[in-house]
Amino acid sequence: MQAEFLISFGRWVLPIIAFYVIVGCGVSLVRGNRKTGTIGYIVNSANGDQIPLTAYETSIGRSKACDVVLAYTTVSRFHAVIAKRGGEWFIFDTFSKTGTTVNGEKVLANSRSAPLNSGDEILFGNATFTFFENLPKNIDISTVENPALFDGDAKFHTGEIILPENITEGYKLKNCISGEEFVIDNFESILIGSRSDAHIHINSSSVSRSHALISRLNEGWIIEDLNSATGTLLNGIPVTECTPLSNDDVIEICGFTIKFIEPYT
Amino acid sequence: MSGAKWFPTMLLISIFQLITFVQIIFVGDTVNKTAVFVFVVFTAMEWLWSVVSTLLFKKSSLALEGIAFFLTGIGLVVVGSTNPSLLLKQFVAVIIGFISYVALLFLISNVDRAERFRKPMGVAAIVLLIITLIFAKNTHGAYNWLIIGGISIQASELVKVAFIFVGAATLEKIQSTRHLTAYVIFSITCVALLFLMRDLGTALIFFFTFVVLAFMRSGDIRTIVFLCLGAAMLASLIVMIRSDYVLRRFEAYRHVWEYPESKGYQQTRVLTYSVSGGLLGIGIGQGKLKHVFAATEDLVFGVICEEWGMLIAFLIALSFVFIFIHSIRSANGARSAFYSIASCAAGGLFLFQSALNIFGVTDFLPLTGVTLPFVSRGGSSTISCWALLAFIKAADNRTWAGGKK
Repeated sequence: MQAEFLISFGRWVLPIIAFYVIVGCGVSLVRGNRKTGTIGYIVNSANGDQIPLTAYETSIGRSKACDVVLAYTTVSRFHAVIAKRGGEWFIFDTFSKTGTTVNGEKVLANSRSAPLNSGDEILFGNATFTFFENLPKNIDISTVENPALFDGDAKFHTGEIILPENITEGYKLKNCISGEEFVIDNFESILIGSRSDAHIHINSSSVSRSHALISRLNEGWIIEDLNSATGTLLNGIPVTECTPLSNDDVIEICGFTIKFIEPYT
Repeated sequence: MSGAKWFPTMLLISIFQLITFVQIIFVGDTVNKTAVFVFVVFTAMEWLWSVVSTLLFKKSSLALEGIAFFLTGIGLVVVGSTNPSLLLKQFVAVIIGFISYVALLFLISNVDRAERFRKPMGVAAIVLLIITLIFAKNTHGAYNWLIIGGISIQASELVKVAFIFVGAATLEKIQSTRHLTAYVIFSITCVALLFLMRDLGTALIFFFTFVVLAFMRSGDIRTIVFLCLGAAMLASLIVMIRSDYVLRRFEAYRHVWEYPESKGYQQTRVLTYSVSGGLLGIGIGQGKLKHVFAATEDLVFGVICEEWGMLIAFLIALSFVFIFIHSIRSANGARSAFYSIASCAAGGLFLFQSALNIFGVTDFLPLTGVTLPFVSRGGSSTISCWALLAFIKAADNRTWAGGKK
């Protein structure tokens, strides 16, 4: 009799308790907030782009599978990983071809990792970034190698190609339509694109936001296409890799033309 | 369910287990002392862990262990009601599994430390499978049981843990560019050995886990499609070579009512008795399905449908969906790609295995003879399930939020 009562009691009560337990635990499992938020930044020294690091491990490389995609030809497909472990930051080189350096010191792939501190300058191939654990609201431009890129002086608005106004002696870029010229000596690299903060801003939907990059090397200047949708022409030839610039070279992006002028020629 | 919120849930779990255990403790005029012992120790274990876990992982949720304890409790009662002599043995497996869970959780709390165990675990897994293949005797059509000192071990269950551990440690972001080929070779070796052992269900689970791991690595659906096509071709080849074995397993699929006394015996009984259980079941220990072969292992879902009712059976199935969603959501904020990959693989494995079991016994899928995680009887399976749970727990950043990051 007692057993029968127990069985009948169990049949009705057990599903109710099971419902509370499984649904209660399930909702707790599904709802729980696990977002890390932004826990660090890397800032592109070429254009001031602030890239937030929102995971404890962030892979960096040219491949679209990476968390941070850097469309530079000198960056390997899987170049490096920035990781936060035990409250400390580290950078790992994942056997990149062109290497990774932190404040000029090479991170050896075999040595596993190198410590990373706020303000450290990281070089992925030729792409320079600065790591910040906490980005101040107004970037302290003294910590950035090329403060000129952040001070806003390099923005002008003249017609469709917007060149900064800075006509003195030195290497220049010339807007072939308006004839305006822009001295590039003070820059390590010049970003061309449709984004409003590009050094050379082109108002056109057919131009990629970050379209092409002109960079300074010891021996001169080079241009690379940043995997743009419509491509970049140099003297009518598509730019498929880092290509040196010579006097009077014409860079063509979606019909917009810019001329490269060497000084004293 | 963090902080003090765990208390009412744990209390409900204990009440549920008290009501169910009482029904196997008092059978007729006798008192099953083993069941009393198991209930007392199991309840003490649950509460002790709840307190210790709250102290260790201050911001951690106990919901994951709550579900695991709940399912394990149901499994113990099913064993106690069906075959009381095996209850203690099953409980020992639960204790070993729980210890494995805690040990693995602490082992992988440090990713660099976990990394050092990658190669030894990979080698151990392959060696264990090879030893099983050589020394195992044919048990119900498969060569997957190893008997050491009177204790039978299903090696493939234990290798599941190593498979995910090695996969996550190899494919995580920092390692992935170096050891991808080695891991593919390791995976193919494991799956091939399981095929040779004729453990088709586990081989399928391993392949599914491999697909999850590959997706976590590449994030590319196309890679997975190519992978699946490759596997389909390989499987077709194996079917042609070993047609006698594989085809026999699929012969009764969707035709169980044509073979109710032979190949479709188990499925037809599960379907019949499940219906007779209705929504609320006919009562613990009152069913007929428990007399069918493998009632507490492969057919446990049917026993629950018949004796505990469809509602509880549905909630059990739902719990694996919750665990899977949790494992994916945890992956986004995990402290390392190692945890993200391991969590998704373990969560996917639980869901896939439970689907193979539930849909297998109900003839929606071919019966592959895999266990229902945490619920089915089986020492190796129970230990493996608890150990795998550690991967999901470790990925939840709330686990570590109260202490070191």
